[in-house]
Formats: sequence, C-alpha cells, structure tokens
Amino acid sequence: VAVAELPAGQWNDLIPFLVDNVVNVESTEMKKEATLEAIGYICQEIDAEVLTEQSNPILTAIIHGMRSTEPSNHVRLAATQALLNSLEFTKANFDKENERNFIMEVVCEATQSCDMRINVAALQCLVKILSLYYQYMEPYMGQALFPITLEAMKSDIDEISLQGIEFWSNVSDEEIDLSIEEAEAGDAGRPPTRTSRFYARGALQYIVPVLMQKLTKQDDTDDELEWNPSKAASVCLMLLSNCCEDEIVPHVLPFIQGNIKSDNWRYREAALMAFGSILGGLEATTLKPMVENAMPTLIEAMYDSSVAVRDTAAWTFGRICDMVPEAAINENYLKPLLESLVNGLKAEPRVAANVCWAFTGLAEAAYEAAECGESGQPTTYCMSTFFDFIIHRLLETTDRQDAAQHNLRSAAYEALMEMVKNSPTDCYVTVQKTTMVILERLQQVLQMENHISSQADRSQFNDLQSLLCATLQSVLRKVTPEDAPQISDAIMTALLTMFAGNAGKAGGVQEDALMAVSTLVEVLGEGFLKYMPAFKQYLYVGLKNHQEYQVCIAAVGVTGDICRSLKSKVLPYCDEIICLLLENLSDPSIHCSVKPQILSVFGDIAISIGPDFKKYFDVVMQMLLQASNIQFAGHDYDMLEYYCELRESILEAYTGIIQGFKGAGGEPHVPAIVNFMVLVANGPERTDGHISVIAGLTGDLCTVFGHRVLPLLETKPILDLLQVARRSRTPRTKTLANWAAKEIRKLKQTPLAS
Amino acid sequence: ELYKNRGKYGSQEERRKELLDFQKRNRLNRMDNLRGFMDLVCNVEQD
Repeated sequence: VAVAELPAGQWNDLIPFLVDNVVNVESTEMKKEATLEAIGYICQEIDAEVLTEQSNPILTAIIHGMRSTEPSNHVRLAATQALLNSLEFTKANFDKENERNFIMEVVCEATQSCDMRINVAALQCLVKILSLYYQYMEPYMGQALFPITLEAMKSDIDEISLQGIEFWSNVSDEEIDLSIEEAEAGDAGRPPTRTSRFYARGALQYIVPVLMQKLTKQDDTDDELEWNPSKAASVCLMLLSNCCEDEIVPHVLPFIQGNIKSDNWRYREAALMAFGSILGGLEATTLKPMVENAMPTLIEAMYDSSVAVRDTAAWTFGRICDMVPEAAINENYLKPLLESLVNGLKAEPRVAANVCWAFTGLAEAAYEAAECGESGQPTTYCMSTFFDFIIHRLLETTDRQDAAQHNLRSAAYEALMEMVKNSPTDCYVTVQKTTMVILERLQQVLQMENHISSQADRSQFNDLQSLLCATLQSVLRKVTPEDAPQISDAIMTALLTMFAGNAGKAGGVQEDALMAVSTLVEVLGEGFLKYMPAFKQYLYVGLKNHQEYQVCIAAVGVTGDICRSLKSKVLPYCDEIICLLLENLSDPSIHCSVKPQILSVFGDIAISIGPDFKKYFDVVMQMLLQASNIQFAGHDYDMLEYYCELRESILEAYTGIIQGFKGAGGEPHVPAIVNFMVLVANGPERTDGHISVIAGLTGDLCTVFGHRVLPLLETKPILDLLQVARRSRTPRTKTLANWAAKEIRKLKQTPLAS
Repeated sequence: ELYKNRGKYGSQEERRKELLDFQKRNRLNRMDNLRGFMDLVCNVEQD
C-alpha cells in the first residue's frame, strides 16, 4: 500500500508513525521487529527518489535498531536488512562525514555479531556500500573493511564466506569501471570525475591464497543452481585478473604448478580453474607463452578420470579459443586437441557442452587465420581435414538422449552453426550434406506435432524447431546460388508448415522461421516470388504481432528483404504492407525498437517500385516528417542510441524515396528533407552513420533534381559535413563524400538549362 | 552468470544482430549500386 500511495503524496504520516514505533521505548520487541521489516520492504520496493527527503528519520529508526546495545537479535536483523534496502536513497547521509562514520561504525560492528544472520546481512551492507560509495571508503578500508572481509572469506560458514568473496568481486568490478572511465577521460583530454584507489591490487597477496583454498572446496555433485564459495572464488579470480592484469600471475602460478598434477582431483580441478579464470586479464605477451606451455597438460586433462577436471579442462579450452585462439590452432597441438575435443563430445553433458563452446571459438579462429581467396572466402583452412568428422560428431551430439541436460543440444547446434558459417570452400560438400540433414530433421520434427502431450514436450519441441531454423539460416548463407533453387521448395514447404502449425504461434519459433525466410529470400533473389502467394499471410501475421516485438522486427526485416529482392514485382503486395507498417508506426504501445526498422523499409519499398510509390508518398512523408521532429531530451544513454538510430533510419528512408523518384518528376518535400539533413548535421549527437547517409543523400539530391537543389545544398552545414566525411576512417563514408562533392561541382560547372 | 560460461544462454541475440547487419549492408549496397559506384566502394575498402 505504501508503494502505491507514497509516490502519489498520500499517507504522509506513515513514515513518522513507523519511526516512532521503532524509537519509542514503550514498543515491544515484536512491534519493533515488524515495523523494521515493514520499513525494509517499503525501501526495497519503492523508487529511491520517493524516500530521499525522508532519509533522515528512516535512517534514525534503522540505526536505532541496529545498535549493539539493542538486546533483541530479531530487531537487529530486521534493522540490518532494512539498512541494506535503504542504502540507495541515503546518499545525503553518506555525503556527511560524521553521519557516514556513524553508519559505517554500526555496520562494521554488526558484522561481528554472534548471530550468523545479522553477520551476513551486515556483510551484504558492506558489499553494497562499497559499490554505491566507493569514493568514501578510504578511511575505512585498511582499518576495518579489509580485515573484516578477509576473515569473512576464510569462514567455514558458506553464507559468510560468500559475502567476503562478493566484496572483493565488487571491488574489482568497481575498479575495472574506474580504469575505463579514466582512460575515456584521458582520451577526451579531461580529468576523470572519480579515480581508482587500487584496493584490489593492494589486497592481491592476501586474498588470492584464500580464494585458491576456496577453489578446492568443490561440491561433489555438480548442481547447476547451487552457488557456493568455490564457484564464487572462480568468478572473483576472473574479475581480479581483469582488474589487476599481469600482476595476478605470480600469486596464482605457484598454486597452478603445484597442484595441476595432484593425486587429489579437487586440487587438479582447482588448479585448472585458477588457470582458466585468470586468462581474461593477461597481456598478450604473458598469455600466449603461458597457454602454449600448458597445452600438453590441458589436453591430458581432457582424459582425466574426474568428470569435474574434464569439465573444467573443456571450459578452459573454450576460454583459450575465445581469448588466445592462435595457441589453440598452433600446428603442434591442433590434431591432439581436436582428438581430445571430439572425444569429449561423447562425455557427460556438462563436459560435452563446454566442448561445443570450444568448437565455436576454434571454428572462428581457424577461419580468421586462413588466407582469403578472391571471393573473400578461404579455399581451405587448418581444420579442413577434420571438418566432415567434426560436423558428423556434432550432429550426433544434437541427437543424444541426454542432450536436454546442461543446454547440450543448443550448444551443439550453435557449434554446428559456427563451424558451417566459418567453413572454407573445400568443406562445401559437407555443408551440402548438412543442409539436407537439417531439412530432413525439420520435416521429421513437423510430423511429431500431433504426438505432443505435455507442456514440457511442447517447450522442447518449440526449442528444437527454433534451433533447426537457426541452423538452416547458417547453412543457407553458405549454399551457392546454383544449389539454392534445388532445395528451396522443400525448405519453404517446411517453413510454411511450421507457420501453419501450433508451434508457429509461439513467438520464438515464429521469429526464427521468419529469420530463416529472410536468408532464403537473400539467396533466391527474384526466385522467391513464387512463394509470395502462400507466404504473405504469415508475413502479415508477423507484422501484426505487436505484443512479441522481436517477431514484428523479424517480419519487418523480411519485408525489406522481399522488396529488395523482388523489386517492382513486390507492387501487388504493397497496399497491405504499407498499411500494416503505418499501423505499427501509429501504435504507441508497440516496442520502440520496431519503428526505425519500419522507416528504413519505406526506403526499400520506394526504390523497388519507383514511380508507383507516388500513391503512398503523402502518407509516408507525413510519418517521416513527424518522426523528424522528435527531439532527444534527457541523459539516458540507451535513449540517445535509439534516437540516433531513428534519425539514421529517417535519412535512409529519404534516400530510398529520392532514389526511387529518379525520372519521375516533381520535387517531393525537398526543402523539408534538406532541413532535416542540416538539423542532423549540426546536432551534437551526430554519428558516423548520419554523416555517411547525409553525404550519400546530398549526391542523390544532385543527381535526381539537378540545379534546382543546389542553393539548398551549397550551405555551410552541408559543405562542412562533406569535409568531415572526407576525413572519415570509414572508406564508404569517404567515397560517398567525394562522390557528393563531385556531383555538386558537376552541377556548378554545367550551364543551367533553360 | 560468469561462472563457467553459464551466463551464455544461447546466441539468439547475436543472430538477431547479425541478420540486421546483413540487411543493412544489403540496403546500403543497393543504394550504392544505384549511384553506380559500387565497384569504387569495393576497391577503396580493399585498399
């Protein structure tokens, strides 16, 4: 009730009433506890801004309940938990040194409570205070926070240990952010607003040994949902490595070397985990030789008797392939590594899932390392000899009975997609075979539709269809234009069956199927026309799906693909398409990310149908001009990004409309279009994308309208923008600017026709 | 989520982004084609 009423300025006597309940000496223990719990719940749920003005009395009540002189542990616990929820809006109190000192004293005192629950809640407060008020922590760090949290880390009580580790994970996280902020400020030539105190670096020598010990306390069973100090220690090491970079190595390496061959699996696994965890922060010069030296031991670990060791070894290979792929595709180790990974695909689901991830990174690394042919695709690469076998094994893995565990099925399909996507020309036969396998599987799955009885089966069935559609996209991108028409009927039949079936009503499946259609349209070009009569109804269903905006975006995307591929042959479908797109733009409830996509598609349609766009021109222009007037206000980075995207899409739409108008006569709102170009060109939020589209549009206006637009374009903002564009790092932007400048020059040099 | 890659819940988001990138590239290529300097763009990009 408070969360509903307080923001509306109602129930104003609530907080004073609750505070009185806590500080009144007459109140019973139960009354105080219940009141503090109520304060805690209100603080947890309400917008922090609503309570900022009342932070003083709230804090008074909470601190009153937390004091060590409070006889009831129930009251102290409720108060400490309430403090945890109130920290966001007590900034004004933390800003004042005497109040801050008092709060910190009470919290630190509570960490020493004999009651474990109070102890844990107080440690949680310290973790949160560190994140919220890092800049104020210096006086407390050496004397209090460091010893308290170090002791907490060492605790045998998991809940306490977890908070100690969490504190140092948060310190690392905060200091990583601060170093990024400092670098950005340096680049911009200004001093940083906040600076790092490098607490993590200072504490490394004390906390790393404790983390190593915690790594060795693994659970015997691998319960994915169970969070424990061993797992938390691994994450803390990752963050410390990212924060302290190479400085962490001397603190970790002796443990790795001393335990990697231990007789005890816990120590072998902990050593491997430490190795894998620190890779992320190391300099390339440290990382590469370290990984290369470790390769034989890591490969050996893939055959370890302990499943935990094999699991961590496979995960470490995933990290290596991601971060230092050149060590993995090194010719000395590639063959034994691939053998160990292929062998790992038959291991327990948790191991096999990590192996799949390793293949994902390996495929990309091998492809990037290969020499590109004239087509932009390598003819061969270091995994060509093994490609067919690996694909075969990955397909087998997707079919394993236990593939539902540990996300193995999706991991295997994703590895398959990456392998196909990153395959060179000499692996094409396998890609062809895989395409047929996927198609067969899709057909088989569709026949299962009527045999599904439970909700769980339905969910697995939908997931499988989504995965098959996604895999279909990746194989289709590789299929040659000659092969595509031979399989397109079968693919389209399967996709249409999917849209028509029950699964086609599930957003995820619908989206993936639409994305697969996008790829097919791209591969077939005009050849997609024959599917339009059957497909259009599902396209319209997708465009009308305002609730599941990702489906709607996929449908808008296919619409653009179809327009670009079918060109003027899309005309018979345009009335309905334009109508649906306009309806979407007018719907205030539709997700905002759909709108820029729609605007860009207007440009696709205009180019495709040329002069026939005239009948839609007025209504589309009205929408575009309306969208052009949207102003950015506020400081939200995501909103700014959206606003920039929207402007780029409007410019793309204008480009399509102008290009489509070539030879059609008339001057469609040219001054308004140029005004918008100038507005964006002068805008502080101008991006390289904007510069590029404006440069292109300038050239288009010259070529389409000739001398008539010259006075509008030969203005300082446009000419200045072209200058900037010519210095762009993006080659396309440069080319567009040079071309536009040339078109302007050409017009100036040619006499004006009478 | 950082622990052992468990925060990696499929790459649907990556696939969406990749498709949008493809579509944008195709759109821009088509516009450049109409301007008649697609070859020029390709040459500059290769350099």
